[in-house]
Amino acid sequence: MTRLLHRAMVYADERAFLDATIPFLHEGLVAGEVVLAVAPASSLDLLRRTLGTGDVEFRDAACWYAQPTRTIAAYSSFIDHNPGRRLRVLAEPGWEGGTPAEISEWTRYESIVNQAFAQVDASVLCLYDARGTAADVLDGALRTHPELLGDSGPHANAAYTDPATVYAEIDGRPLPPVPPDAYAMPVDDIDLRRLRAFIGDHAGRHGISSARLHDLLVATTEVATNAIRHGLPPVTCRTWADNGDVVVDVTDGGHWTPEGLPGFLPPDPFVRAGFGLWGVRMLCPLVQLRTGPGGTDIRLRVRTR
Amino acid sequence: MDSWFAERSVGQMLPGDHAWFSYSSQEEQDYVIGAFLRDGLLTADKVIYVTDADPHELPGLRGSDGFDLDSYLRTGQLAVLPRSETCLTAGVLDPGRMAASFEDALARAERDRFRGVRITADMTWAIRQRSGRLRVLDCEAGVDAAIAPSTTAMAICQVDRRSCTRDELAALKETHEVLVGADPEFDDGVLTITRTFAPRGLRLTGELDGARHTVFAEALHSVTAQGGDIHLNLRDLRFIDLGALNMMAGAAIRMASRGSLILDEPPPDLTEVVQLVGGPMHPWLKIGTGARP
Repeated sequence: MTRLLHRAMVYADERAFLDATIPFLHEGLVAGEVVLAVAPASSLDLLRRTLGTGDVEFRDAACWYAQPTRTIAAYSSFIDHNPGRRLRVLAEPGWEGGTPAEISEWTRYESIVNQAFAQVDASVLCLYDARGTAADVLDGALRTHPELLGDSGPHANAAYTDPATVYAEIDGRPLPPVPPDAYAMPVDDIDLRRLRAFIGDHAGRHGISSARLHDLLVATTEVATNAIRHGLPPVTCRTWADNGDVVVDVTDGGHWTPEGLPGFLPPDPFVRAGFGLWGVRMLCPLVQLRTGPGGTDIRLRVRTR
Repeated sequence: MDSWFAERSVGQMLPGDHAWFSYSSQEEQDYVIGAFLRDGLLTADKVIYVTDADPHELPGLRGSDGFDLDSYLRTGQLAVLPRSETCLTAGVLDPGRMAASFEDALARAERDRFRGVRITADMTWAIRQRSGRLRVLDCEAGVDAAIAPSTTAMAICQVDRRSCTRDELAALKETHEVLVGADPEFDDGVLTITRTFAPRGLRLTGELDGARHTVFAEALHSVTAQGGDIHLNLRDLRFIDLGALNMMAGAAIRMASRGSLILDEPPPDLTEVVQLVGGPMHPWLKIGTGARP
């Protein structure tokens, strides 16, 4: 039995936002729940002005929703810090749009919430501002919340789609082809210093900052190490710049069948299995994984600043 | 660190080196002096230890298996010289006598056609004598005059830093051009792993990825097996992969009831990674400053 209540509401103006959120937060405070509001700065201001400071914990969505795996880690940590308490979360991610791949990963994230936090005793109300949100983002939200909050109150969502179906659809879309001007390097040795020099050289030409390059080198090393240790040759690394980002793509010939939610959830510190791919997802804003009989393809994307 | 000092590991010492070694535990003394003595004996150097201790109780040679100490003593390759015969006059350190003894020992070793000569003495007792600090400084000047011009001899003056004041340590350090420390446990030109003793742990230099997980695991295991806080100094580690960080987190959890694992002086980029992915590993993995305990 699922204990999580995961509801979405698409609002069109400030009045509708307040009519939905203020009673929602009040109800939690009266019931003695732990109440968290994550929203863009403008919404937080509005909530604080209307609600007073009270016992609500406020977090800025710009930081909290920086990239899906970090968001899951932030909620996991919030849950762990409030054991045995009922939680109430107002969540307005504030995503206005993005590339199709980014939007897909946020849709996946909303779907993962249903699966990963199913047994958490919590009411979550996700808000989407109809005025500035891309249609694809809204479409994703409508398929990943079991309930919707409308003018006449909450009701079951007929468009809700099972998480496994959502993941399969996203993972079934082929990655865009590698551009012809990408640089390629075969990887045949577990000693990956040459690979790091190769990535550093090419990423450096695109003006990547030292911190972002370091993230990329750690992530690339991890993915290439797994390809060498667990995949099959040939292992190839390609890199190119795209729209101001640096992309690294690692392919190998192995047929990997990932189980569960590979690398999306924080590892159990006492088991620590799955730490590597999770770390890669924490470091890179976008990680795409495609597997099949033809081989495994992992594509990483980092910003240059 | 003052720039006119050379820092060398004990295995890199050169003829003419008159080196300074201050230890903070018997473990550290065993590790460094043991290497100095064993390397000398195995490469057919004459090895001279000035001490009143029993030859079987020398640092680093205590109870060492497979080492036939008695045969080295019998052949004279290892000489353990009591203080009364080398450096005391009326029970007090006599700098002139010590310098003369060293020169005599060098001449004899040359006559006996040893390839090289290694001399060491622990001077901690002498510093604690009346006006000991001045006498020891005098003595160091004499030893330096004997060793520095030599093309075959090297010497290590030892002091237990726990028995000395800061001023005494600084004054003694100034009379030596070479500071000697532990040999790396592993060094392949890419990654260097060196034991540290104050604080206890490992210093990692270079790059650490999957190609060197096995050697790192061994070093980490041996240093964490003894219990107590362990410090990994990462100041000169240019790269570490997630696998090695995961191994550190695992070690930190295993040793949690007996002490902490502290990552000292990680470069800023690495600090960011540790804070980002180390989140779920907290509070086991700690970041520290590398200060002496």
